[in-house]
Amino acid sequence: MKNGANELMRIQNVLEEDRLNVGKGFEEVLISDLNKLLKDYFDFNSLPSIKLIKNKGGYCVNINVDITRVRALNYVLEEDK
Amino acid sequence: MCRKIVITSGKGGVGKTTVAVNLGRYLSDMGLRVALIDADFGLNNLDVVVGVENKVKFDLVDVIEGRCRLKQAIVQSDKNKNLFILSSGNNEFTSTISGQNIKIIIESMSSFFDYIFIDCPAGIDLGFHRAVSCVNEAIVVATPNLTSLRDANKVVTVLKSYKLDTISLIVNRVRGDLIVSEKMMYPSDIQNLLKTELIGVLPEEDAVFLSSGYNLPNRTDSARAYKILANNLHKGVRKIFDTTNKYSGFFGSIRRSIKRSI
Repeated sequence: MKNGANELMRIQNVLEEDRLNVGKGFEEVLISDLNKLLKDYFDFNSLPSIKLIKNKGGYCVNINVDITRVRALNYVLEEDK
Repeated sequence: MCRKIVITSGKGGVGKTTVAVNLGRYLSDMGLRVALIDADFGLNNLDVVVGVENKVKFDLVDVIEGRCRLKQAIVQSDKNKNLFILSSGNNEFTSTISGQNIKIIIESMSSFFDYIFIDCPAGIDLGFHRAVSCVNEAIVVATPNLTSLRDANKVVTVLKSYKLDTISLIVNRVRGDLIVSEKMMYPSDIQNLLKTELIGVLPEEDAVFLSSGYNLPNRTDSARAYKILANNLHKGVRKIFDTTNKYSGFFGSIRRSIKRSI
């Protein structure tokens, strides 16, 4: 592959990585919002983690959280009263 | 209506001042009244490139701080009577310079000019924001290498937050011989990378360096490219200078060999 094409690919990768760098503040706000949302459905002890990755010409958000219990939606537990 | 345009890049040394001066020159040759404002406080060069450094008695800081009237600080070019320069002075340490002050000055100038170009300092700190906050349009100058494009990408991202009317791209220092040899990327690839409309391609040429960026001889590729660029900007057409033209074909390969051997 010629230098021009190599350089183009390298620059594309660098720019895409730069565009994925959303910053600490963005992540903190997103994780805080996800935490509130997920607490309605699951019990868990640690904050969720997120990862932005490149995927098929676009981007993908991977969300990971270790849950201890799935909350049922149709009744209220004693401890939630 | 006056068009107020900032010329920026992120990375230093890519040719912002040269582009500002030559765009100003070729637009003024078309009969338009053009003002160039140097927003690089402390590292001002616009007056030197245009060759009016001996005529500058007052600068933008003097105007802001009330030591002179605006028209005393605006200097007319000797060679291009429709081209005017407002220098920034060589003192960067002044707390009176704000984007708002510069904006007021530009607004008061706008009824007298068709174009006002602001030559922005390198980087994306206070100087950049001071310059960008005064305008409606931006031109980003980049060269075809990784560091310049990375910085240009960051500048474009920041510029989008200003909701300007247009953000355009000029690719400077393009080597047609290296493009034909597939050692340099095409300007159209750079347009796609930065997702910004390309309005001009300027070739790498000794004439630019030898003329200190101004007074380009008319028969040079750079002069032709700048004329096309000025036309693109003013009339909204999109003709791009082809830097590969003289390096294609049989004679083109001979030129490339000569260039490699120099």
